[in-house]
Amino acid sequence: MADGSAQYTDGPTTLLASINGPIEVKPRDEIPLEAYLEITIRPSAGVTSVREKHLEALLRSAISPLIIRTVHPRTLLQITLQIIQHEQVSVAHTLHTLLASAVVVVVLALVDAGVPMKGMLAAAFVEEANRSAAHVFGYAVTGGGGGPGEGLVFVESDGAFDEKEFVEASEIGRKKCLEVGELMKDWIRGKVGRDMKYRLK
Amino acid sequence: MATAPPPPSNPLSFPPATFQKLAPKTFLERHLQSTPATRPSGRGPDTFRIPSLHTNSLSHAHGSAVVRTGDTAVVCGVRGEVLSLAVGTGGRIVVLRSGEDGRRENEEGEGDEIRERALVVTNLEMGTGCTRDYHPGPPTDFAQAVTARLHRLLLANKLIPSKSLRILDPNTEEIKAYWVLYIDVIVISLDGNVLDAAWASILAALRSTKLPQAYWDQDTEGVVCYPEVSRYKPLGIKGLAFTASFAVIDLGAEKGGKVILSDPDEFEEGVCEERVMVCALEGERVGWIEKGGGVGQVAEVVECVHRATERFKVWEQLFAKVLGSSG
Amino acid sequence: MTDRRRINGPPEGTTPLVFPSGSTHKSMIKRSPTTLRRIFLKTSLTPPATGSAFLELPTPSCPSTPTLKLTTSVYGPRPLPSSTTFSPNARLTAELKFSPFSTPGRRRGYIRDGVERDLSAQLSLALGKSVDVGKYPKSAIDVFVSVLDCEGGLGDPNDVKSSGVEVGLMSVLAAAISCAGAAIADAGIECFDLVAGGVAGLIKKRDGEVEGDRIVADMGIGGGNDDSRRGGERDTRITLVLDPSPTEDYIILAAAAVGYMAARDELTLVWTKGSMARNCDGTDEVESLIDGAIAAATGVRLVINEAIKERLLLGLNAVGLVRGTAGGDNGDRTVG
Repeated sequence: MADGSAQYTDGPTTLLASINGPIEVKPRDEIPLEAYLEITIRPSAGVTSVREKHLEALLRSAISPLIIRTVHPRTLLQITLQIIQHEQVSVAHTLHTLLASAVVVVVLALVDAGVPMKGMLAAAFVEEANRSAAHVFGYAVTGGGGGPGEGLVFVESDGAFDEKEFVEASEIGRKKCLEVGELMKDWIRGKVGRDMKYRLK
Repeated sequence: MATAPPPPSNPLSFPPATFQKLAPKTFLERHLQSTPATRPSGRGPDTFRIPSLHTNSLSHAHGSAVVRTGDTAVVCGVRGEVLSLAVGTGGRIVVLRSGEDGRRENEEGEGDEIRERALVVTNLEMGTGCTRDYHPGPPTDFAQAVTARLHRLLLANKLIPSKSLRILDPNTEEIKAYWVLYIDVIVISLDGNVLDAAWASILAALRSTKLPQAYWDQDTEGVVCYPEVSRYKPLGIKGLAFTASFAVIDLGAEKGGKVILSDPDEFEEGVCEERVMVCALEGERVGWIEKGGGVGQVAEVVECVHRATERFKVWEQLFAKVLGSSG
Repeated sequence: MTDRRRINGPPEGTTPLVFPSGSTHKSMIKRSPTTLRRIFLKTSLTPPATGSAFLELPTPSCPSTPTLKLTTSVYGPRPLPSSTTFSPNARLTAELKFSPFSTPGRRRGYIRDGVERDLSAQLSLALGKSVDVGKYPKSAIDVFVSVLDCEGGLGDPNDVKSSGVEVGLMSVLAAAISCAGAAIADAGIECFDLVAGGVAGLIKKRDGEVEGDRIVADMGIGGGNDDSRRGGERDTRITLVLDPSPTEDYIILAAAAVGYMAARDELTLVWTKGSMARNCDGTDEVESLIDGAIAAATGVRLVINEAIKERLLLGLNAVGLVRGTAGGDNGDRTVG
């Protein structure tokens, strides 16, 4: 039984995230003033490979700035992401779409688990019309530095583009993130409403 | 070994090295708050370390390069082996794993064979005693993540033409075998920013790689190479791409805000959590941006793009000097 | 055999290159049997390490001739991991690894193989006696050697086999000992003496004479597969060569590698390969071989001394204790 979890389906992608923590940490990983963050990604088939480690590193860099780790020092926060289904239909950049969904599902699971956070992060996938480049932007949608959609937390861009195209894409990404953020807030509102039903009677 | 410094006269003060160990973040912040802002290494925030490059110094590799930036030194060796298609080729089933970039439509059909048949094998070895914390043994999560990024960079930039890896039957022009390039990067000394040095070494090694001319021998049903050195051919690497990595530290609004440090060393990497990596291409274009670890603004990333473009020119000149126009 | 922590090649497997004929050519011997090759030794090339050294045989005139390059880094004395039991002395471990692209023929794997484990064990034996381990209780001293390039002659089953004893592993070990000795000194670890490695071989001059079928007498530790078949008596065509190279054109009948501490006149390691008998002048061949290897190690020791002295003066200069020029010269020396 996990402390928090979330499942997210976006088109062909289905991901399941579970959070455990704060729990006991191995002495080797213990950090005196902070919680240790462990992120594991399990592929839908086969064993983990270098590719999953890369995804783990990217996911870590996206979500770690929003988690307030000093609240539970010398503990472990365990994040496990199970890829249930992820097929490429026509989109070329499958790693990017996976990453965008992964950020959303992990943030929702973190909220569900009640992990102390500075704010919520939403991620959006942006593709250039001619497929020359693909971007994933992660913007803070609540708190986390300024107002909604002001803090750019995460970027993963691939292809061939110039500065102008990048700035334009980031603006599209910001708007998309705000939309995704509203959806995420709605889901959380619904969840809290259901959980607290007995109190509202 | 330097002699021990004399004991401090004031018992409440201690030498900089102790300060650095006790409060690494404050130590870095104090340095950056001085005018002009200076990093502990003496560099300015936007100063990269000067790179050096040597190629083809290894005798058993088909191409090799040694890259040194400051105290980070890597050796890259490229070695070709042959993948024969004689066995079980007809009904080969390609199983793409989740999260794997699938087939991309491309007018030249390039990149697909390299990706699907795993013709390029990139690996980074850090278990060489390059720094205190890495021991021989299986690669750490960090080494694996860097390996995956290097591999992705190599495939995404499509630098290697698939044509140069095909081995044909001289009579029928049919593809009989492929070259498989094993690219191994050995980290000799690590003082931060291993990605930039490793990537430059891979690119230089590939540009210096010469494979023997190979042909399909019908009698032996195998691939045979001509031993003459004069018949060795370069890979025909297309274009240039150079990465530039940055670490970002937030000094707080009243003390100078965010400072972007170019080409961070080991100490700075340990202190700063926010990172940006930009891969600059020719013609001031960008091939890849990676940012994470902190809350920032688009302007920050744009500043990194500018610095990466400048850095590209430095590498470009160095490559032109060492590898010449042929490289 | 996929490694899930690394990027793997095609699952079908790949084969090393095949050339139409055995096209390995060996170079003619240009130096006299008692001349050592020049070596380049420089310390402190891995600044994060406590001590480090880089050793290289200079690039030969013919670019296709392989050469030997290796780096060593030393960490310590540092605390032993808490899981280990109490040790009143420092524990010295040595790890030697060939880079995947360092050897001819097949590519080396990433996991340490038997040869590397054997060389690592011998290396730690050779170095262990030189360090004053009693000075550092509960401490670990770790030596890491990475071979970047080597001359071949490693006795790999896939290699083109040359007749006679393979000395490739011996020259790698001797170079690793010398390089590690310099790195330990660079680390400022207290030593009784510095160890240097040396190799010597007995060679038979090539004159087209076919050797008869004689008895194999293998005296080596790792020399199980040499095919030098000889008998008891010797003729005068056999000569002693210091620092034999696997790339040079001669048949080596027997070889010895030593780890030698010149100031104390002590051997820390002896490794012989091939069969040895009584010389025509009544002395034992094994003795003359080991004496030869000691002479080679003594020559190398001079280079180590110079490399360390240069570094030390540079350091003293930096803190202003010595005036004058210490650098300038890059440690490249001719010995012998």
